[in-house]
Amino acid sequence: MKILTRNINRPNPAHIDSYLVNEGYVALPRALNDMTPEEVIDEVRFSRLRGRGGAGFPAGMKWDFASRDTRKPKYIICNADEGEPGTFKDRVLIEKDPHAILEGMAIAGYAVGAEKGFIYIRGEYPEGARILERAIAQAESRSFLGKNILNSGFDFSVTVHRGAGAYICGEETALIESLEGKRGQSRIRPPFPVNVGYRNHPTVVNNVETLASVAPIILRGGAWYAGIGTVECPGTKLYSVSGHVVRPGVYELPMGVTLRELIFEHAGGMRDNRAFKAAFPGGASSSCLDESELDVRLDFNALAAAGSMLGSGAVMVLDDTTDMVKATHVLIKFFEHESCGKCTPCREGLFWIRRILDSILDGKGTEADLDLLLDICDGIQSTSFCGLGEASVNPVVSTIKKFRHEYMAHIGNRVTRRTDVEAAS
Amino acid sequence: MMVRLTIDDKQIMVDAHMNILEASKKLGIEIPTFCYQARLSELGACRMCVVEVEGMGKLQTACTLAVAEGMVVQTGNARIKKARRMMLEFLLINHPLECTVCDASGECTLQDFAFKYGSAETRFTGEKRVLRDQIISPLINRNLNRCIQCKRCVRVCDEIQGVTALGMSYRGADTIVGPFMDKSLDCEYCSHCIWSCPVGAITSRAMKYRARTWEMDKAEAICPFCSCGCTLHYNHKDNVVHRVTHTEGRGINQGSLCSKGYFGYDVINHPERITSPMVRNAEGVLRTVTWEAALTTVAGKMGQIKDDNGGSSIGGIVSDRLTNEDLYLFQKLMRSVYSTNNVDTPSGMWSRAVLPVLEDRLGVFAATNSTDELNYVDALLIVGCDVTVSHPITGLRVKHAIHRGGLVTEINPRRTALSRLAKRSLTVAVGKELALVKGMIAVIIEEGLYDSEAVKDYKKLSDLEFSVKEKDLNVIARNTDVSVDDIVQTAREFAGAGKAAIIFGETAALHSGGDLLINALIDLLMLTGKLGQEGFGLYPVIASTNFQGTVDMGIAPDRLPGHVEVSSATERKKFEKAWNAKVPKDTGMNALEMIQAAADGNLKALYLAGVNPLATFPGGKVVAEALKTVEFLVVQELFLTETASMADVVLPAGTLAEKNGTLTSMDRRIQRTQKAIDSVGLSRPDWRIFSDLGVMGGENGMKYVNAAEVLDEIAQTVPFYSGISQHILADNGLQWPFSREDAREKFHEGYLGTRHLLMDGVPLDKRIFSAVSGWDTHGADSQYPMTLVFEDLLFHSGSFTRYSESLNKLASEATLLMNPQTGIGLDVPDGSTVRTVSAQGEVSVAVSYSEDLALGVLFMPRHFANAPASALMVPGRNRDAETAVVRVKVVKV
Ligand SMILES: Cc1cc2nc3c(=O)[nH]c(=O)nc-3n(C[C@H](O)[C@H](O)[C@H](O)COP(=O)(O)O)c2cc1C
Ligand code: SF4
Ligand code: SF4
Ligand code: SF4
Ligand code: SF4
Ligand code: FES
Repeated sequence: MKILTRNINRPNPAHIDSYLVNEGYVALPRALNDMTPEEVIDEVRFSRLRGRGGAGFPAGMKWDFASRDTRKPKYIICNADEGEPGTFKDRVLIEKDPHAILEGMAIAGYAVGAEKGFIYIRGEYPEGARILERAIAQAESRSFLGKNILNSGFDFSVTVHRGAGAYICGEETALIESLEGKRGQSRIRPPFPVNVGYRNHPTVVNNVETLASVAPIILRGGAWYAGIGTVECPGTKLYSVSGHVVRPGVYELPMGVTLRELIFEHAGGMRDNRAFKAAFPGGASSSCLDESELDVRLDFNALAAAGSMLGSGAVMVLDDTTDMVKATHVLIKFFEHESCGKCTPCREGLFWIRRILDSILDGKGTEADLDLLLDICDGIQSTSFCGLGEASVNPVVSTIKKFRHEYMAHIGNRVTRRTDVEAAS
Repeated sequence: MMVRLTIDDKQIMVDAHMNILEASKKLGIEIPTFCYQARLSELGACRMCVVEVEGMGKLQTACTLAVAEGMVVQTGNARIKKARRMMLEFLLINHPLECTVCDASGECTLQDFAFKYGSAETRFTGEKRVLRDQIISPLINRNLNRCIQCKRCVRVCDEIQGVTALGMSYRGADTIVGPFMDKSLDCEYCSHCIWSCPVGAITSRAMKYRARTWEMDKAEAICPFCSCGCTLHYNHKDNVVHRVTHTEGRGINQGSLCSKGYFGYDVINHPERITSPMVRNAEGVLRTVTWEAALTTVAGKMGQIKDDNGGSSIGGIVSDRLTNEDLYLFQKLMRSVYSTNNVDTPSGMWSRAVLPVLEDRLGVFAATNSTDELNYVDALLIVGCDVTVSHPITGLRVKHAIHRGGLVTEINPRRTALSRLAKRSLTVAVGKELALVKGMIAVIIEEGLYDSEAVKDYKKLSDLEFSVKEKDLNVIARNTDVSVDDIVQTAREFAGAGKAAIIFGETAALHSGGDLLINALIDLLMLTGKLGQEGFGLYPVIASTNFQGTVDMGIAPDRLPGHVEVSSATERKKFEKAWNAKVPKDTGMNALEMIQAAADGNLKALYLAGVNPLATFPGGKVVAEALKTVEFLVVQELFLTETASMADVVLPAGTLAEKNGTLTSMDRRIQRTQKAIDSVGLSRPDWRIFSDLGVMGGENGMKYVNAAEVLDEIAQTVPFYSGISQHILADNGLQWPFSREDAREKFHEGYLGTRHLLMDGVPLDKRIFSAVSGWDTHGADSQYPMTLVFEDLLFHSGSFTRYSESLNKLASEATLLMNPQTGIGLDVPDGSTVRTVSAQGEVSVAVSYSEDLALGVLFMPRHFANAPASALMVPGRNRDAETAVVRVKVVKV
């Protein structure tokens, strides 16, 4: 089923003319001419579309909150920071179907009463930023953006802002701080951006994929969309599959596909026919699944029930050649590097965890280190200021739980090594 | 709205705006915090204050979570204790644990909490992260390894001080706090960051390794450097003041200090302090003598001159930094023992320019309102001063008002630290302020924005209307180089504000037509009805610490203590009775007249107490002449200044740290200052020297055992100080006038006396507009076409601070500031040396370009040896004296 990826295989897909071929910019005039803002929000609510940035918050509800706040101006921010390791699905939309994003933003703007939109795109996507800017110019020249869009009296303009390379700036409040020219660090919530966002004004922050889903919903109706995928998590989802599979890539599938189906029916199975060992189903910050969990459905609720999370839908697949301790070390190094440094547990705790993993990999670990690691993880998880710290320890906790023997093997090394030394002397 | 919640099984009703931390405090429950400070924005970073809230899975931070109806909170269960232990463990893994040499040891929150809430063991075994540190400033030390990233320093610098000199850079465990690009600190040195730091990461270099915090005793004193009247703690050990600390929640300043108050204490134990009396011997050399010998010399010589030439040949000038007790005794000595009304103080120049106008127009002798009311003004006009420099803590109130959205308009020949923050900064040449104020009055009348109720019984409204009509706003705008819109908006904002006030300073008042400007400002206040209530009023600001005390204590040739006139026989009688001595009836000479008379040989004896006219008085030549010619020169000083070294007798006096007494702030607050250390060397408190001389001069009424006895006498002779005592000043001080009964009974409940004057409105006979004519108060002078404005620097106030080595590290030399366009016009490049010439004399000084200045206006600090202001200031009897604003020409060399 192709909804989000309907246009990507067209020649010159990012051009407005390609977009227009297949009902492009039909939803926007329909919303502007035939629907009130409330009706637009209702339609999105009926669709039960849930945010694709990671948290799965119902998009209709978010819009509704923002529309109820009477303070002006309001803002729509498209979160194109795509920083979660293993995630590369927004990039496909940005590069191949930028107008779908812009149309979604304009509809969102109309729905909540915003006249200004920003696309916060990660600094590592310079080509994406250029494509978006070109698309904005094209849309403006056809009156799909700008002043008095299609003579409806509605104004909406979009500015592209490039990030400077911090993972935390994907977190919506840190993103807003960064957009305001400040240090990228999360804000205290509540108040939430829907009320106190960019420049302290009501702001809707939505992921690229969320916004790209909007035009089809307006066009075909919320009920149609709600019928796709699972009841609680409707619609299709872009899964970024990476790791030891035959065909890594972005797959659009109805929500609720199982991990097994995704790997073996779509991604071509395991590389070199090796055995599956584990997968991180929602990016670096999710808990890993092992072989016994291959039939878990990849949606928000099912993964949460399995003690993991869907996150951005970045499925990282590992085969039996993988050293899980080394894999965890790689992920923790990422989080240690990306911790914004604001709060004590994340800043100091990740530094500490990485040191312990260093020493385990150096063969200097002890079994007590594993309890200490879990204790530190608990400290970080229960007290961190924002989601980064909170989720960063998931790989550690889950690999210790599911692959403790691999840690023990490294720790055991130490014993071996010491006996080696003794034997030699 | 109130809400009910349960904390640790106790129920409490609190305001819905509170957070859990505040609510817990009400119940007496302590929750440990690092990053929280009530006056700063909330951050929630340290996670030390976590609590458990029923229904919320994750632990919550008490400092950021608002209370809510029905909330059930646990603050100390096992889960929380564990989390706190964990936070401390996290903070300590990279902390250097160098408490043995850390200046914060003993006052460190991390140390205290580690002891109270931490674990005795450490589970971290790796190597600590070590960050290399650069020295970031001559006075402020930063130690990155000790930093716990609470951002209190960053926030206080930004949110309170408005400077934003500090920020955080890099990420994660590499995060560091420091100046932009980790360059050296370029800031106001207000010390707020040092005060805010919960650990020893930001400390004073001046105090480094001097003493352990717990070894020092603290004495609560008043800062000697300006008339804001800040309370501070001198920390001393072995009779040496080793540092100053902030007094949280106390005093006018509520703890805040400025660079001078915090770093300037090193003048106290300065090695060059004069430690014994000196008398010039037959060979003309100053020689150390006993007090007995020195005082006998002074008493004998003064007596002889009085007998030979009469009291009027004796004069005395006293510093406006001394206590009320010192000042009172000084004038009593001069009047009752030496029979002279030749009594003045350097700031007499200022009082003569300002007080007559205030007295005449409003019937007051001081700022009408309290400085802390400035915190909450909605509109404020600042005319002819940089209040953040001359009065840093009053400036801080203005910054607070701006932070709250107060509309501040600055009218000054130079942009200041407020310009960036204020709503509007109008850079206007000296003399043109009047046109702007009149333009505002015109707008207010034209648009009917005046307070018709307030002005209904005022006379001369039509004159006022007429006086502002002759010029079109467009013409005013063109002449002042300010846009019409700015004039109109300023006027509307001022008239429309709920609370509005005016501050003006030396540049406004101390130039030829300054009185016209002050009158126009008073007209503006009257017209808009902004007098007599909280948040209204007029604030003349002068730096001298106890300037108001000199006014109140009769340090003037024509006034006795209590503002009463010397010429009044009844008033004289009152004092004669109290003192049991004669009070001379003729008005005396003011300071400049005394200098002239001394130079002319008519004044035979000059007693200078804490005054250095060679550095600070106009007319360098005539001053030198006077000091040379005068038959007998007594100088009572801390240091052997250029003036002291010319004296016949030098008497070593003490700093404020060495005596008890009272001082009166610019907002009439009489405050107690306490002795921290014993007098340095053989020096003595000023009041005691005056007292001894009085007794030796035959007046037993000059005998006092301590300063408190002097205060008792002041309480009896000065009506609005009536009933005052050290005891009732202990808590907050008192603002005169006050009720004796309330002062006695309620001083410890926060009774402060009169917060603002004119509570019953402007006196009926004074409800008249002055309708100033003219538009330019300064005019042009073809011979001296430039206007030089003298100002204090943020880091120096007067010649006293020149002895602070710490402050000298921040600034120790004068340069001549000018707008680059002025410089190009004069063909004097940036950095070149020029001769600056006034009608009085000249100095050679380096030029420094600054875009902040109005065209044709120059700025120079007053008191540096390389460019003494006294060489340029023009003496004169009254308004013709040029002391703050001098006409000069600049000559290329
Ligand atoms: C550490 C962290 C990083 C995040 N990075 C991204 C990101 O790169 N892209 C994104 O869309 N959302 C990201 N999010 C989620 C956003 O905070 C936010 O929930 C999302 O943009 C909302 O959009 P949605 O409702 O459409 O999902 C991140 C959250 C956290 C805690
Ligand atoms: S958990 Fe704390 S340190 Fe980590 S990214 Fe969030 S705010 Fe920054
Ligand atoms: S001394 Fe004051 S101005 Fe300077 S950095 Fe510290 S807080 Fe900021
Ligand atoms: S220097 Fe001190 S106040 Fe500033 S962040 Fe570090 S610990 Fe906090
Ligand atoms: S503002 Fe004035 S009184 Fe206060 S600390 Fe500074 S110099 Fe001292
Ligand atoms: S005091 Fe609450 S988080 Fe720091």
